[in-house]
Amino acid sequence: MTEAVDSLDDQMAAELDETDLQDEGVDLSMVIDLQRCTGCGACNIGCAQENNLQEGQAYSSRIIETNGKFPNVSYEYTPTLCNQCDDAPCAEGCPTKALYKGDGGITMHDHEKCIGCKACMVNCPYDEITLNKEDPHPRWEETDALIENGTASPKQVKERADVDENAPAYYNPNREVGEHEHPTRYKGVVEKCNFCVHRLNEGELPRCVEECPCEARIFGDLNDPDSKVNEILGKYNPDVLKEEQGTAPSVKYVRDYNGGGYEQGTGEAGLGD
Amino acid sequence: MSRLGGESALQRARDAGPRAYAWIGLVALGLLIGVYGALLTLIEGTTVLGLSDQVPWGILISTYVFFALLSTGICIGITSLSSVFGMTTFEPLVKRGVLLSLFTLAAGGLVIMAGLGQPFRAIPQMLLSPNPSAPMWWMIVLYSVYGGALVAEFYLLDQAEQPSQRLTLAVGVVALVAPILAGGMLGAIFGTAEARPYYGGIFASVYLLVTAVFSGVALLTAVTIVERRLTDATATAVDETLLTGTLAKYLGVLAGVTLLLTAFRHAYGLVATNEALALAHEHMLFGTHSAWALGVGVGLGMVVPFALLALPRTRTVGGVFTASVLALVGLFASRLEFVLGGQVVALTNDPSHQFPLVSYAPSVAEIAIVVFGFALLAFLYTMSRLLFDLDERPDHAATDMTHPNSTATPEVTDDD
Repeated sequence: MTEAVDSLDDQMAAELDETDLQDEGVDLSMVIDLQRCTGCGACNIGCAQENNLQEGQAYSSRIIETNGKFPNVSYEYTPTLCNQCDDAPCAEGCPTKALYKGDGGITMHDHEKCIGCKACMVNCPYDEITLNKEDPHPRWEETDALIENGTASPKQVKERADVDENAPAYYNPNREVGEHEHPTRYKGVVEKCNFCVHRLNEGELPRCVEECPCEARIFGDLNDPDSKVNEILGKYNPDVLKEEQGTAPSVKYVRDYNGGGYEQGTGEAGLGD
Repeated sequence: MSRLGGESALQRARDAGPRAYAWIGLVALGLLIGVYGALLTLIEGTTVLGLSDQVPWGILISTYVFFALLSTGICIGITSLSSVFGMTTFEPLVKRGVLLSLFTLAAGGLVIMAGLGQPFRAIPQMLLSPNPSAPMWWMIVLYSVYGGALVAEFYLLDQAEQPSQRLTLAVGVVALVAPILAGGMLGAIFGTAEARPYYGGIFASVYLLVTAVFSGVALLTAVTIVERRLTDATATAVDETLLTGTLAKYLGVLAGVTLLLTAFRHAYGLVATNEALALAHEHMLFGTHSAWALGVGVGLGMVVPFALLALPRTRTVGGVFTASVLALVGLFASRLEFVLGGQVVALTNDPSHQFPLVSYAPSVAEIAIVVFGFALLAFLYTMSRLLFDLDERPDHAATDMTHPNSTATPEVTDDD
């Protein structure tokens, strides 16, 4: 009889249970294993669901790079999110401290202090901050039906579902937990990923970590020497995006994906070892 | 005291005839268009602006920079030389200069507020939750101090009976130091955005401050020439030699320096090994923005004015006026080129974004708000022109000077 082994998610969740986010020594980090990542986009979809993001907005995204000439072309896919930089230029340049370094080193955003000046968007080297140009999900206020006298209009659906008229659609009570977390969002303020701090407060992993079918995202406390994050970082030399910017990102990448191979050279070291 | 009564102001407006009515109508139309743009943005949100997550700052920011630096430049380049350093040459320009500084600052404030996502919480949050590490916070504090100093300076110039020299000098010093620091901080907002090397780091502050003086002197010169043409009082108070002599040469030098700094900016960028930086400069100078960024911004705004002011043949009142107006048009374009240039190259190759180049075109609402800024400036200055005697010299000069045409002769003042 074999002993049941906890999944990676279970191990990380157990670590999180033992972590006091308010403890000053906690430094949360995410390591993304590019060998495991298949580029399926489940992280992006899960994130959009969790945070009620509408089309055109993303906290979790990806960058791509192609090299070579057809038919010899390589393609690299790198999942991205807010890097929760230790030296965050968005927070440095925010005139009202709407962006600030919060518990666990997360770069937090207080919507109520945001004046919509967009300085953070100009300062972020990673293009990871997005502006609510209008109230989210305006479609739910539309009164035109797809088929007249045939289907209900979005507004009618909202009314039939007995949603409070002033409450926006997709109200998410899960996001009410934190001091600066809001169950809905509104126009004129910026938004960004915060490692799903509302979930962390409930002892749950960030949604993108949980959604990843390949367990390519490893999450935990960098200051805990026994954390899974440190275990991975101890094995592989990590990269960060735009290291030259000096922002010290908390999101790190290991095992740069390379699915190909070619003729061995005479000087290849260690091949016979 | 030189305040003109309300009745007198109305009489002056009536005396000006149909030309004045046409001007007031034009300004009113501008204000209406502007109110439409501002209300539309307030109600609908910034979705009516031509911005995107990749270009969060557009023509509203560049217009704010244009206005704020006009204000800064007038004070550093003209009025402070008189109020702080006792230079008598520019005294006929001081009162209108202080008012123009104040009103360009107000116009800039209006334009930037209209473009904020949450304009009503801007001032309270700046006070309740200040961030001293943010250049934008410092800029707003310093421009607020500057605005207060300008009001005080104008009060002392216009209303106070024999104000104390010490107080006048103190206010003048604040009105000189505050805009230098504020303009520097405005540059730092861009310069500290290390992800966008187009702004040039610390050079952004230097570039914006120097070109601020060019724009400020150009505006004050253009306005003064128009006023000389419209009223005899100004024609008497401001000697033609001041315009075609000192101011023309001053503007010419500033045009040359601005041209040189702009050339340095682009030359460094074009030869940079940083591909994104070189691409941004190439795109702004020779790509789709070339006509206005290079043609209007550099050609019409710097080269032509420099030529007009360098050649003795064209250093006439008409030539100086043309050079000043072209400089202002060019600098308006240059401000947009500067702001936009830092954003035209995508930071990352995210397939849901534009890559490698990012497009931007001002929306109707943005243009309406820009019109609002110009209309507000025109409205406030026109009203002030009717209410105050802007041709009056500062008090100490009025007692020292006996001949209005002796403006070009520098005099040693008490402060010396």
